[in-house]
Amino acid sequence: MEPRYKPGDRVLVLQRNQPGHVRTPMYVRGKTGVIERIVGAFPNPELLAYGHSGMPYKTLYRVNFRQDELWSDYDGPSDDTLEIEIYEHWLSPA
Amino acid sequence: MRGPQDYGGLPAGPVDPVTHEHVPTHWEKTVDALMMLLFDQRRQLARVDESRRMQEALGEDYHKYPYYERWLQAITWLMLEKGVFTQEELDRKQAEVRPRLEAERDGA
Repeated sequence: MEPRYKPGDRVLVLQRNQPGHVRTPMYVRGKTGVIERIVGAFPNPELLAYGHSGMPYKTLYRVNFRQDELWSDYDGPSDDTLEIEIYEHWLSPA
Repeated sequence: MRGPQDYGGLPAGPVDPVTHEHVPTHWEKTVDALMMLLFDQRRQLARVDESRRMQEALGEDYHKYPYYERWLQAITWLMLEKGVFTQEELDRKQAEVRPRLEAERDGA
């Protein structure tokens, strides 16, 4: 499958509520970051968690966030960043 | 909808790394082996993602259970969900085994 984003693209993590096993932590939902790399395509863990095959594959990205974008009271250096892996279906263009 | 595993960014005290050193007990190794066997390629009775879903379903109890007790609870719920055994069969087996374990613990 063709990845929708490429390194350098700005993305917004969806602010979505969902039950079950979800690997997108609350603290990045609704935040804007930059694609750092494409990690690969993997079975969807949200479906694997219910015993399904996890198909179709979902592209996983490493996404880079500014710490002061994630935490309103962040008092470290302004160029501190955090990288986290997010599946494509949790991202939209920013 | 924040699961008990999703604590990133919430206020918390310092982590004491000393209390996180732990030598696995025989019981913990047994639970580990049980999971490996149930999840292996031949049996494939469940997957690690399903185990995570069940552990996260513990809600607030997640933080009361030690690590391997969470695993054991997740394995149990998964086997019940998939009909590998029933709650009645589990209860019956536990009632059968408990007196023996208690006798071993108290006596020998």
